[in-house]
Amino acid sequence: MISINNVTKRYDDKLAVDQLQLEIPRGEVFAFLGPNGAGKTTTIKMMVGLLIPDEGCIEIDGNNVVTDPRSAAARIGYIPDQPHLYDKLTGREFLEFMAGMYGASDAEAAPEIDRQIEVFDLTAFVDRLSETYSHGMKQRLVLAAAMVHQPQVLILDEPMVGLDPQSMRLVKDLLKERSAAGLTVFMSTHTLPLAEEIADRIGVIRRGELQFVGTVEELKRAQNRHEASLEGLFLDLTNEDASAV
Amino acid sequence: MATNSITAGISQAKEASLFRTLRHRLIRSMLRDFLQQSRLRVVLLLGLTALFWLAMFILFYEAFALLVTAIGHAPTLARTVHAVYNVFFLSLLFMVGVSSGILFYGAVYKSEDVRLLLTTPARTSTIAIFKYQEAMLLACWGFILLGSPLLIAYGIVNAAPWHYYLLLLPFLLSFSSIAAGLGVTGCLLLMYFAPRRRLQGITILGIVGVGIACYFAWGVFKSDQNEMLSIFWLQQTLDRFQLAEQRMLPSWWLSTGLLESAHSQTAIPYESLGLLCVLISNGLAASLLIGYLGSRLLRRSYGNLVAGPGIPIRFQTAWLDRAIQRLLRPLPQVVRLILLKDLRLFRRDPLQWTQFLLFFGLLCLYFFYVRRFNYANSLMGWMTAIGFMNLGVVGLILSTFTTRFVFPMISIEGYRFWILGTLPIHRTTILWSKFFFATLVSCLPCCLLILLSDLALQLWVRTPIVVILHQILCICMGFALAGLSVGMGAYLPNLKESSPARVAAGFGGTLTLVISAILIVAIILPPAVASYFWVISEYTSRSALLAVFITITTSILISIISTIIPMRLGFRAFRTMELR
Repeated sequence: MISINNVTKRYDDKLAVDQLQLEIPRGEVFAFLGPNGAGKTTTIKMMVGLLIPDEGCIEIDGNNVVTDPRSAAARIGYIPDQPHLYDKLTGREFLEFMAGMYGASDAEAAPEIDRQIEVFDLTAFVDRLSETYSHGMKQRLVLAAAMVHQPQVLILDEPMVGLDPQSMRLVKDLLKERSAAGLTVFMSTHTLPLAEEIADRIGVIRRGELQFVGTVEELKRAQNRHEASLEGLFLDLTNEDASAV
Repeated sequence: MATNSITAGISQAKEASLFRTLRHRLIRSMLRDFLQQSRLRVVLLLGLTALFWLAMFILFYEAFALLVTAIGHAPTLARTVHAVYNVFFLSLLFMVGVSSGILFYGAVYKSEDVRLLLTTPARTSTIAIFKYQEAMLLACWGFILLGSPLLIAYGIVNAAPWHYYLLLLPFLLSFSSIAAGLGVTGCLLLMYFAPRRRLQGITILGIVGVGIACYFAWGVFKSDQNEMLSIFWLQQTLDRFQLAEQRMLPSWWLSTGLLESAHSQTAIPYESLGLLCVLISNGLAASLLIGYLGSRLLRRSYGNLVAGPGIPIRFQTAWLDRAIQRLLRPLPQVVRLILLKDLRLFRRDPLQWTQFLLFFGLLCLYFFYVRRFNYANSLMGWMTAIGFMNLGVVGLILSTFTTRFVFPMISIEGYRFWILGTLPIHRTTILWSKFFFATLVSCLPCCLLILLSDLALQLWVRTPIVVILHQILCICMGFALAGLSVGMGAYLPNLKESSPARVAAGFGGTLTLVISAILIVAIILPPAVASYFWVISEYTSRSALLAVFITITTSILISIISTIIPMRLGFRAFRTMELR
């Protein structure tokens, strides 16, 4: 479903992503881990078409994000780390706009919007201007907006930041349920227990280079630390001194 | 909702309709907010705009009436008006173009909504056109505010037929769309081909603009000074405006079309309508061009410029910081650090200072050419009056600067208040540092500009005391406007806004601007009148000298009072302010 082929991105002399190679099949929850500045957000921005790779290509369900960005975008639901909303639109108006952008007619959009409002528990505030929302409310609205067109791929950049425990549970359940129904999830996160709990596979990136791809169990075996937590494994894998040895 | 139907994509018409709905909804809720929360601001804004429009209309009406009386020869009159129109609209073409380019840059490369839109299947061409329309509408209201009193005054003086008035708006709008199209195209190309040299690009554009202005001004003023304002000079000047009369220029289409309509002998002004069609078709072509460039360049330029990690600040600028640090050494360390931070933030945000720089650049140009006039000793009173008028103009521009940039400083600090608010410093120190910053950046350029003006007017040689008075008044204005804007900024903050422009446009900003204008008049007018009479008495009138002394003292007192009162109000409010 997601195919990242030898993708490289440079910012001047700095190599942000180096020859990244990833294949993520349909229905998989993939957690992308790495320290700050490792290249996670750059990779996500290339996947959603905000950045253009210097080398290599990214395909979403066979659609190249550079040569055919509209078809690729039509298959993606994207949740950025900082959710931007139009302050002077209500939540419902924002959902209507987003549904329309993905080609839904008003008649098609209305029931789907109502469904998402219910799923994400937006009823209490969805008809208020979004400038009055808290961060958690905004995040839930952005999640609803990302799901309103029933994407095939959901890309999340730090989805749990600012969410209360109930909302976190809601998101986890949703990701599990939808991935079981065929949704592919690509998620960058620093919340390691989340990755451990819901990810089918994890990828660890450091200084733009992919250090590891596989399941948490495979990582344990590879590090020969069968009792270690993901946190311990991750710290070992991304530790500068240890890696240098 | 089936994903398959989505992958086929929505039609361009449907996409445009969605963007229109988005715009209508945003405008509607903004207007509703505006009317519910800022009625006084609306009344003030409309009142001041109407007043400004009326003043411009009277000025243009009297000017055209004078032209008709002074130039009896009809063909010369027609040629003169055409030349005035051509130059006026060519200048506006440039100004609307530059403004639109800057606004487009802000709306696309500095705005978060494009980041969202680029992740949807929306066509980048539609996004570019949507933002172009926004930039055009924002840029052209000033143009219409300036252009409409001129055109209506001309129509009334010349008893123009009804269709002249009917055609005004379509002519102005289609012209604006071309001007904005040029600016937006320039911005897109610059951001695509030289994103890291955008500052240099804007500088080059500014130099080109000033160069063109210099060319015209040189043409006007290079003639023998003794012939200035004679009929021969007028003829020569008209000849030199030929560059603005190029028939390929949209400003020529606009001025010729409107003048044809004003003087049309037939019921239907065919030639005028033809030129309107030329303007409309070119405006539409500009829109198509922007759509095409948007589809080709927008995504990549956005990625290079915005979505990446940003362009590193060059180390070379550190010399400026070092120089400022040295300059600020006498101040306490905390104040010095906050000042340095504010100066850095100001310097690194071109949107904050480019338009201001343009204003001051044009003022410098004006002062430079003022010296071309030959002032005899008998015109000393006139020169003094011009000197004070220049002081007033600088003061008014300074007041827009303090309202636009200084007033919002406390409000936008609200978002980042956790930084300063949690430091072991008094809140009053923060306010004092803002005051020092504002006074510094207000007084220095104004004193320099006024000195330049006085040198150009040769006041320094002929009446140095007036030059000293000007400098005293400049410092008075600097302190008063800085105190007012900092104090009012703390007294009436808008902590919900992160955009300084929106904070400045709010009630507090509008009120500060109005009080600033009143203050400038109160500080400058009395000493100006007293100095005028003292100078025309050839420095012999004791009563006039006494009046100069009293008015200057009053101005200093007004300045002190208008610094202290708002600052006290600001301190009181800021000490107890809750920042959530």
